[in-house]
Amino acid sequence: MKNNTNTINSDLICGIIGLVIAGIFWHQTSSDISWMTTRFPTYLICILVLLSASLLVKAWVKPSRKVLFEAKDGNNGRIVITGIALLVWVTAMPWIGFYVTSVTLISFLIWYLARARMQVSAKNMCLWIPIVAVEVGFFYFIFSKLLYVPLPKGIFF
Amino acid sequence: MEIIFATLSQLLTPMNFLVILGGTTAGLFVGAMPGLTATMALAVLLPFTFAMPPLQGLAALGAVYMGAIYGGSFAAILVNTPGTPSSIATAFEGFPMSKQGRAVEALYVATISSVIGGMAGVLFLLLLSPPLAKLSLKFGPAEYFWVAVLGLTLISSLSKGNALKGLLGGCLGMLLCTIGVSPIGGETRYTFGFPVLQGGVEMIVALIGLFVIPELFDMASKAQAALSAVSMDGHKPVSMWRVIKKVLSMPGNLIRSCVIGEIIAIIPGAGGNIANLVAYNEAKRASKTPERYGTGITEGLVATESSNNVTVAGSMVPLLTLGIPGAPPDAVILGVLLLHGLRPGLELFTTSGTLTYGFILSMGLASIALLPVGLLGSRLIYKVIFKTPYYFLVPTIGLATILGTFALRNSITDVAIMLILGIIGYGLKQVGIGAAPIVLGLILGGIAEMGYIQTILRGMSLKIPSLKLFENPLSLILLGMVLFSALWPFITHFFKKQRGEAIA
Repeated sequence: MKNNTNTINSDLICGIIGLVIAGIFWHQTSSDISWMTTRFPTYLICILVLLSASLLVKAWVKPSRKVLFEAKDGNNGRIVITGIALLVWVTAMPWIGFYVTSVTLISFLIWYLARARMQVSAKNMCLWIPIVAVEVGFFYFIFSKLLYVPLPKGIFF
Repeated sequence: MEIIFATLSQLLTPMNFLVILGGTTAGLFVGAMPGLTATMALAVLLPFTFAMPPLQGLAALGAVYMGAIYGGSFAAILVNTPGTPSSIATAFEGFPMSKQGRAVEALYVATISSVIGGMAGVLFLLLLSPPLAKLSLKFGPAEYFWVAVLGLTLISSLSKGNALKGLLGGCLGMLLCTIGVSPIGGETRYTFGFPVLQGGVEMIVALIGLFVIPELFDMASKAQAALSAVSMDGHKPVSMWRVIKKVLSMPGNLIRSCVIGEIIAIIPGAGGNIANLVAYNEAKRASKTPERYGTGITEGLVATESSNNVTVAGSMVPLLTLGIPGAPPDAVILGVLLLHGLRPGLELFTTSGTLTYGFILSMGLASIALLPVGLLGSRLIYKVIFKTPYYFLVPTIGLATILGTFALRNSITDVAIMLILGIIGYGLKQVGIGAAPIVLGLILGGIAEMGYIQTILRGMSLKIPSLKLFENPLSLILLGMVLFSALWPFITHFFKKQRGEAIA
């Protein structure tokens, strides 16, 4: 069995995740509501526990091993930063406004991701930011003016 | 027949033609980008259809789906990276052809095979749906419950080597579906103290998060520079008619691949991603010269591209008749149908017949539209896609995703839920639980719960109400299918082991 330090026992992780989720839902199952509301999810929780237990047994007997966050030539840091940027984007949008937040965050992401493969100069950014402004403006126009979607305005727009 | 002609008169308008052409082109662009799937194309482009009348919106989505599946062949042929999972086997023959200077020929073959496949899928849908919709009238709550369970067990048997994880994913999806107000009983459950969860998890929100965000993270992580494709410049000019004749000279291959595509399309959870591999494998097995496969022969390309495009319309058979998506992209279509107040079943073919047949026929038009879009626009698509740097692509997809989710209900909470589910989905993908079983669980969960509780309520007069689930012959047939599909991975594993021991 291959057991190097870079791999994890994915069956074990899945089994634990299943049990944790089953536990959370079990804890939330109230006895004050009718059987019509609780019976189906209760059966699902039981099935989830059974499946998780089977995976734990498999993890013990014949585990599947996997490299976690495997990415050829990839960088996990970029995943974290992209994830944080997306969360900031969504959180800031109602306060600052759709257009300004989007232009700022997209410009940041372009600068950050481009750095992985090239030297980003101020000249590059001076070219890219207007492109981003036009791109976001295009989406803003389609959604707010043509599709009548009330995009978050915030303190700017 | 009259309804089809009546529908055609509504469908054949210049505006609808434009929408179908636009949808096919948009789908082609997204599908041609490696990593961006047909589901993603539909999810991202969905909000653009909100302002359209129902038929036009559905026609646009059908066209996007058709274009995206076909678009996957571009990247497979030119970059050796399938644009969508439906084009994995296309790369086996398409890329060697490109390397031999036959990229244009490969693209022509892929286009013509896709058109034939797309048309065959529409024909299957027209022929199979009405009788199946009539059969669905015989389905009571118990049968719907078993159909939903069958969908889940099929996921497990299709999750190669990961049957348990596939089932676990389906179960997680079903639990996610229980958040909010219960369909029978009307009480609130599993809101975890967040009142915003009372409305439950919107299916399309979950779908966008689980399918798009993990792909976005992968693209950001890999930070690939603009894709290095085989150049189309200087390739041998090819006669279009010669290619058409060549493709049509293999009717056996075409028919076999289309039938394989349709059978796989009907199975819930399976789609073009499986159909193209099975069709390729069967074409190779049937060939007199199987050793030539992988060196750039047209037979393999015809098999994969015709079979994967059959699944576009073909997978709508279980969707339109039983409300069960044949493939993940169909989940988006189901969401749109429900958004317009259309419930799958016989009613869809009678009361809403014009709309339903209009949608089906629009997919036929979309498959014909592949011809001008693919052949005339191939060089432009090549330039735009393969010269676009990833650092522009990732935030642009992020923007479209955020906007698309927000536009569903004008809710920033939906966007937050989409992102959180996307992050969780990425984590689960890392340990082997894919997005497809979770999403199918989310869709089937509601059907299963309604079926189960309604059956129990009907069986209250019995000593054991659950026995009502096994009362009808149709239920028993479905139960047999459930058991067979659930045990199938273990049966094949057992026989493989036996064979291995016998050889040893």
